[in-house]
Amino acid sequence: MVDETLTRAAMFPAQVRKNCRVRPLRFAPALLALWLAIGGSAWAQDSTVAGDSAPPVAAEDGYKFPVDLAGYVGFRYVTAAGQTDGHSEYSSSIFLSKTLGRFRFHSEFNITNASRYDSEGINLFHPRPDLKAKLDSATLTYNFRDWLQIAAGVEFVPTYWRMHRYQSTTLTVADPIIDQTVFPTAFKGGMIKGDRYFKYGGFSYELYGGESQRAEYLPGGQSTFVSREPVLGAKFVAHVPTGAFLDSCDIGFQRMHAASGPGDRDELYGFEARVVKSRVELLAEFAHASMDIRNGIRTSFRQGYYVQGSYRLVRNLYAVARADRANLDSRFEGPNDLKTLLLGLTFRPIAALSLKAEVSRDLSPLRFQGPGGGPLPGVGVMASGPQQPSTTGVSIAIVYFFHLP
Amino acid sequence: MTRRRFHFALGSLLATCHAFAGDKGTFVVIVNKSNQFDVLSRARVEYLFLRKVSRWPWGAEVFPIDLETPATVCRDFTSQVLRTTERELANYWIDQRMTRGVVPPSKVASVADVKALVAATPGAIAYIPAAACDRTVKILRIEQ
Repeated sequence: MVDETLTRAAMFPAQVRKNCRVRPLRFAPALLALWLAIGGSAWAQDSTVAGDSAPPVAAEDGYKFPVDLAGYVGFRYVTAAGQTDGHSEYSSSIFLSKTLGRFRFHSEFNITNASRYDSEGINLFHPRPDLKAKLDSATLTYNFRDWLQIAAGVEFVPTYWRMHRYQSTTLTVADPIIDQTVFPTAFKGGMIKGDRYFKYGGFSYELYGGESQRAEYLPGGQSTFVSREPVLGAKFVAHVPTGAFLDSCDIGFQRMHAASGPGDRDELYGFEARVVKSRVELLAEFAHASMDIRNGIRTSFRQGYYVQGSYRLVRNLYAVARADRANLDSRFEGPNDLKTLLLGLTFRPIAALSLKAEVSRDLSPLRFQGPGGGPLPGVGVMASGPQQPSTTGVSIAIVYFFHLP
Repeated sequence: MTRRRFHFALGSLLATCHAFAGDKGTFVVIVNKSNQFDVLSRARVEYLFLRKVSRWPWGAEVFPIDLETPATVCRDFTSQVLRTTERELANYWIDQRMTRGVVPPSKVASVADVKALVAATPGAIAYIPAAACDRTVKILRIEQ
């Protein structure tokens, strides 16, 4: 029996490679050069013998691209509720990932033409008003156990929307108002994280620290700067066992401390919930930030929430509705009390292609004039401005996701 | 005597296959013969195939394998064990590639190749048509 197994083991590469869906790549040399430039060792895993590690699965000619390369190209036109003019955004990201034993490297390079609405990442060259190329994230993770992993690099602050904000998978074009405005966008530093799953349910946790990155808009809404401050945060998500009643039920809590200045600190916390049952998905987040606390007294606070429900109408078509509410600066309660309601449709003829259209209605009692003509999705605004009548915005998006085999 | 023993073993094997098949008896979940588990809950098998768990308790890397054909077996496995649709699963893997850099299981075209790969890889886990199972791999019983 053992001999038979070993014989089959010796035979498997020729048999399996013949039928694997990996094909030679014409543009592999350029991508290989890119991978070598970021310091990857391309060939170690290919020489791995089937033992405790997964075997290499390669094309018949023996070539396999040494990293997992995926990405998207997307276009979106956003006229958010309250904006007088919309803006077009062309954006593309490349994701490079590589797993070597217990190490995993994952990174995202992004290029966009809407740089004034984009605050995240490390610029690869000096940004122009209509072009920005940046490294959004780059993380090296060592997996001691699934429940104990250590990561370092540039990472997004792990709020639900920030982690899953990609247009290929979100059902809306516009981001929620609280995205990037209450919690910082990203941080440079380290993280200890893990997942533990039981027969029923499980949990995930993340403990992180480093220097955060957050975009701020000055009063008047014209100038923008990126603030950086030391942060320490933690997140816990319970994967609640529900038997056959629900397909998925995740409840999360997050806490963060930030040193905003000498003697000052910000304290942030948030909740998230994601519940899935058959065709229905419910997603909600709440975030609160007490700003510039000194001697136990805060200067101001920011807080907000969104509740998003979606329903799969037919095989490829989803309907989505989202209610947003946020107060981005308690010192200007009126102008910064933002409310929007959004209704949209997402059509995915194939999983990789996402076509979206939505209508959003501004329900704010007093609306501010933010940068770009209104309260932009995903942009922190601390401005008060002229009162304007409520408006309706229309947004569309086309996104195509791709990956090398 | 040898022939009788062979028939007994074959009969036991076939009975085992059908006993542990999916609800409609179309597939069985298989692992390498060195795998220490005989039984796993459906949820744990789901975590393994969705790469939420990366290693077996004894340290071997989990290596899930996706069967391309026959499509009915793939569909049955996705709906009964993963409790999702192939389209939703594709969306899940797009999200995982972007957020965590985790790739979907390797797709292998034929049942024979799947069995060969499982037999050669200690951490492998796969599914095949119930009628195709043989002694080169170990059948994993799934508890609901």
